[in-house]
Amino acid sequence: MGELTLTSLGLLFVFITLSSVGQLCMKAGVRGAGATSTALVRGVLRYVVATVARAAVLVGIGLYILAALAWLPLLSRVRLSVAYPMVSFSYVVVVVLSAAVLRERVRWRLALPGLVLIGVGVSLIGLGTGLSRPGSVSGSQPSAAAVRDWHSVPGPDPQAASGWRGRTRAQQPQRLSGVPSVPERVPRRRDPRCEQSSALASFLSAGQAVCYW
Amino acid sequence: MWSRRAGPFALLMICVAMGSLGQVCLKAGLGGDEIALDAFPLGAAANVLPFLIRPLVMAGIGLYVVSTGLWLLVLRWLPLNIAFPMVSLGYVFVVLLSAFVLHEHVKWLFALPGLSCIVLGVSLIGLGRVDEKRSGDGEPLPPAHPSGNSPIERSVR
Repeated sequence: MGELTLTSLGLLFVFITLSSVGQLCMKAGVRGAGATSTALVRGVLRYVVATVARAAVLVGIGLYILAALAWLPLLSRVRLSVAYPMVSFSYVVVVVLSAAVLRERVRWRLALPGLVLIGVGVSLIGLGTGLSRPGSVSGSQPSAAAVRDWHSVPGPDPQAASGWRGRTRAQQPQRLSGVPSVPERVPRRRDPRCEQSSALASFLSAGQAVCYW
Repeated sequence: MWSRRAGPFALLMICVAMGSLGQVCLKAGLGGDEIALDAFPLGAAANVLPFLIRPLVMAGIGLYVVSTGLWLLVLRWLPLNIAFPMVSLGYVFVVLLSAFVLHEHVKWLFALPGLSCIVLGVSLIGLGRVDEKRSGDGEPLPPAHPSGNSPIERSVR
């Protein structure tokens, strides 16, 4: 497990803290807003504008943007199948904080198994993402770089190598069977790791939002 | 036919679905083009700029903004401990959309049980809300409209 360094754990801590506190701020800000008529689209717009103008909501949105900024370097260090389950941990943090700070009533008997199920589900999706190599879309063989990282040897470019380090041991034999004995060198532009990092960038750069909203 | 109870959840679903659609728009807008990450913090940010003027990318960002506004509305009615975990439904939307709209390769062996778990977990958390007379933080539900229509239905229309 070479991918979970102190740095990436620190980034994870920063990310979860920022996004959770951001959500709390937004909720707290919305809470204080007076009753607003939402009968029409114009009413909704007025509500949203009035809400966004509230300091706590602004702070929450700002924290959110900061969290997205912390997410990118985290992704460049940790592969997606590890990062995904981490995201679901923020659900737990938010639920606990909303009970502790906002004094919301939480039905733990339903919330706990629910959160566990969400965590398992997100982890499964992340696992599928980690297993499917980017080149498999076109059915190509894994590149030399992918093979190298397969053996958990860090590539020369740690940023681009994000997606391929630290697989669990159980996944390895199955995947190794598809590896050509003499992996050929692929041009840098075709490197599947680049493909993946671009997919990651598009998936996450503009909006962490979706994952958390 | 929204009931008073279902209204906020329906709005949340719309909010999450719009966000997911925005995600798909972004991905489609980028096409196969790579954004170079050479000089990570600032250089990469500069590399992102030319992508922002693409119509699909702009549509994706616009969907995000709308989704954020709706989220503030959802937060008004639902306690955070119920609403926030439900955002994970975005995974379901994104995986389905990326498989059927973007024609991405999805490992269904992992995705199907994963998505089922998420839906099940979200349903469990939602049950915690259905049982309650009022929301956990004392926020009143949106008033029932005399005609039986929720304000949400009218606002969305």
